[in-house]
Amino acid sequence: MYRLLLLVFIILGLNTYLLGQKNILVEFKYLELINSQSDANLCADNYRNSELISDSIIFNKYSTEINSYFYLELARSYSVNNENAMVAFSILRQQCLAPKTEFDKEALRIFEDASLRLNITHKTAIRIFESCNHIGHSKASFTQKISALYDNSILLFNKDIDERLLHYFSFYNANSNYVTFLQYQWEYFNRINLGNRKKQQILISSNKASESKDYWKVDDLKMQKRVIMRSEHYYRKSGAKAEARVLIEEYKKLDINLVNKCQAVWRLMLN
Amino acid sequence: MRILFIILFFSIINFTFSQDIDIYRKGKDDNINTTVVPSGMSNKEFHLLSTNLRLKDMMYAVIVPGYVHFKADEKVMAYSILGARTIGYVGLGVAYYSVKSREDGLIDVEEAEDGSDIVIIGDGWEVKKSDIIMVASATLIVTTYLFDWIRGDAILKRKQNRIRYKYSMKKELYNTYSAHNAMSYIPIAQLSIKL
Repeated sequence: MYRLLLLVFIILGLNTYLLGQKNILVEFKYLELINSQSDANLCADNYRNSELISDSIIFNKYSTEINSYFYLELARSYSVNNENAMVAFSILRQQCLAPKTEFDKEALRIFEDASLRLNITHKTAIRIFESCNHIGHSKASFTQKISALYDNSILLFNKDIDERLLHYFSFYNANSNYVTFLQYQWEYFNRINLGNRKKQQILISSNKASESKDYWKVDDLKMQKRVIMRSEHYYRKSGAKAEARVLIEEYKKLDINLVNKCQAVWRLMLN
Repeated sequence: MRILFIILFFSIINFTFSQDIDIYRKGKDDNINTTVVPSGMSNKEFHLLSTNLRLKDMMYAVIVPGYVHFKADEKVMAYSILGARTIGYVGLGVAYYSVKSREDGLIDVEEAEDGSDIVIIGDGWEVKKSDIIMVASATLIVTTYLFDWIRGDAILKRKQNRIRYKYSMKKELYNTYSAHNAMSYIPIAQLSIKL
C-alpha cells in the first residue's frame, strides 16, 4: 500500500515537473519563432510572458538544459529592441543558472556587446561573465548560483535589471543563507531610491563581509550625508517618522557645515 | 406587398434586440458569460482583445477627442489628438468672436474699414484672417477626428492580431510538444542531470 502511494507521488511529482518544463520549452520555441521574424513589436509584447517563465524557473529552482536555450533566445529577443540591460541580464541568468559549454562563446559575444553599450568596460564585462560562468559550471547549489547572479548583476548598475532583481529579492531572501551585506545594502539603496551613480560609487567600495545592520553607514562622508538625507526622506514620506528623527540625529553627529545644520533643523521640523 | 411587410416586421424585431444602433442581435446574458482566458494573458491584453469598435464609438469620437486611441491604449497619441482638437475648438471660438465683434457675416469677404484683417492670397484673392482661422480650425477638428478613427482602428486591430497570434501560436506549440515529443526528450535531459 505504502509502495503504491509512493509510486503515485513520484508519478505526480514527475508529471508536475514535466509540465513546468513543457512551458519553458514552448516559450523557447515561441521566442525562436519570433526572433527569426525580427518583429520588434511582437518581441516586446512577449517580454512579460517570458519573464513569467523565468520567474517560474527561479522560484521553482528548475535546472535543466532547456533553460539554457530559453535564456539565450530571450537575450536575442531583447536585442531586437536594443534593450541592452536585459540582454546582459538574460545572459547572466543563463550563465549562472543554466550554463551550456557549447553556448559559452556565443553568450560571451552577446554579453560583451550589450555590456559595452551599457558603458561597462570590456575588462569588467569579461570579469562579470567569467565569474558567472565559473559558478554556473560548478557543483554549487541553485541558491548559491542565484546569490552569484545577484552579486554580478548588481555590478551592471542598471534600473531595469535592479527592478527584476528586486522582484526576486523577497523570495531569495526567504530561501537563502547566502544573502551578503552588499546585497542587503543594494536592496536598501533601491528602496530609498538613491540613484544609480551614487549606488555605484558606494557599492563598488563596499565591505562585503560586514555584519552591520545599518545599511545607511558608508565610509565616504559626502556619500554618508546623501544616504542619510535620502533615507530620512524615504522614512518621512512613508510615515516612519520615529526612524526619520533617529537618522537626523545621526546626521547631526557628522562633520557638517552651517548649511547642513540648517537643513537638519528644517528636516526635524518636518518630522 | 405582404413580403415587404414581413421583411419590415423582422427588421423591427432585430432592432429591438440590438443593444445600440448597430444592427445585430445581442442577448442580455452576454455580459455574464465568462470566457476561457489563456494562461499568461494580462488584464490589459484581455481588455484589448475584447474591445470592439462600433458605430456608437464613431459618435463618441466626435465628442471625446482621441476616444478611439484611448480605447486602443495609445495614450500619447490620444492626448496629442486631444490637444490638437482643443486648439481647433479654440480657433473656432476666436474666429467666431472676432467676426461677431465687428458685426460681420462669417463668410463675408468684404473689406474692413482699416483693411487690417484682410489677407491677399495669389492674384488678389482677399480673405479675412478670421475666415482663415475658422477654416483651419474646422479642418483641424475634422482631420483629427478622421485620424483618430482610422489610425485608432488600425492600431487596435494590429494589437488584437498580435495578441491572438501569440496565444494561438503558444497553444499550437504546446500541443506540438506535448505527450510523445516532450516525453521523448525532457526526461532524458532530466535523468542525465540528476544522475
